[in-house]
Amino acid sequence: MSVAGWSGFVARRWPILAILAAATLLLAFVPAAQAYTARGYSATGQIFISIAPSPATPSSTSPLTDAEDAARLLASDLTEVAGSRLMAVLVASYLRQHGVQSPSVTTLQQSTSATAAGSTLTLTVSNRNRMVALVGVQAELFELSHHLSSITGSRVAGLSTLRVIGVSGAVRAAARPILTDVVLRLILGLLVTFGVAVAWDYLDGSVRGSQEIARLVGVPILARVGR
Amino acid sequence: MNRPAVLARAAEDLCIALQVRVPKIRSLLLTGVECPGVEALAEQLQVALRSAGKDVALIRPGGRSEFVPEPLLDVANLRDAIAELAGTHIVIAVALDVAGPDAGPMLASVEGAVLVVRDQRTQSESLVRAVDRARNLGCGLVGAVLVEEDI
Repeated sequence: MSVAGWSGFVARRWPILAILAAATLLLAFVPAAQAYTARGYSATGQIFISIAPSPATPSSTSPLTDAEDAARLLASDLTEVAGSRLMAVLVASYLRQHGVQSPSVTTLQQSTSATAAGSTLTLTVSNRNRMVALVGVQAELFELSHHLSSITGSRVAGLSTLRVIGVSGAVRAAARPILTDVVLRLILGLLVTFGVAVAWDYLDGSVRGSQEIARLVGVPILARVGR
Repeated sequence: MNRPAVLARAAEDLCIALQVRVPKIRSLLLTGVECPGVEALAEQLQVALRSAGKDVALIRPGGRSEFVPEPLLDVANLRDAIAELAGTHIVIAVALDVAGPDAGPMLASVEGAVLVVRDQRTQSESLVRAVDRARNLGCGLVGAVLVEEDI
């Protein structure tokens, strides 16, 4: 189409172009107005684990003679477990069980500290695909701690009790980059706008100009009104 | 440019075109094809023709005219009535839309028709149907007026 053709197209379809472009701008910038709307979550939870040596285990056969040593060993073991891909698999599995489609666990950090009272495992789990309530995150972390219990309990020699005594969680909204959203929506919206206008123009069967009239019915244009 | 001036200019162009193309025509139907403002254009054409020294009889929608006591569409022999009027005047009949009830009898009674077409509004199919209707009724098509803005 020539320049004149495009200018004619814009002149003909400017109302629909203007309306859709305005709608595009509105839809593109709505996310900017909701900059703090949570998209997904980042949850940090702490799992406190107390350890008690098995009373049935003779102390002479166990290298663990006090609770602090046991806790350090457990912390080391937890770190090993948590640092592996197994943790990510557990998280994803748990999310799937709770209805999250194709969970994307984008961040999984962990740290441990051990005291005489027990070990603390701190986990940070991020999932940008879904926002869940704090209660849900806490339940999620508790479930994770349960998995950890079953895993680590079998791995730590000389321990008969592995007890999760507390879970705490905090949710921090992880907003998507607003600029990316705006640009993507703008591009998509303008493409849709242009496509709709072109389709509208293509499907419109109205006559356009004297040449088309002459072509259709073969009569001359005797006069023009306007322009 | 305001609306009357636009119409007057278009009517003058139409007047000149008619005198050049069909100088001997005595009865003409001006009818819209999905285009409003035909009657206003006909009034301006009447003014332009009178300015050119012609006697003009305008037959408005419904067959009303200052030259006959009853609406011409109610006359049993419309063709003869228009022919008689055309003996002394140039008859310009107006049918608001070519698909309307006025247009059929008028098309069959006048020598030629001018279609008033709204640019980018009139559907191509309607225009083709209008031309077919005129030709089927034995009316010659003189030409078209292209309306490019609201009148």
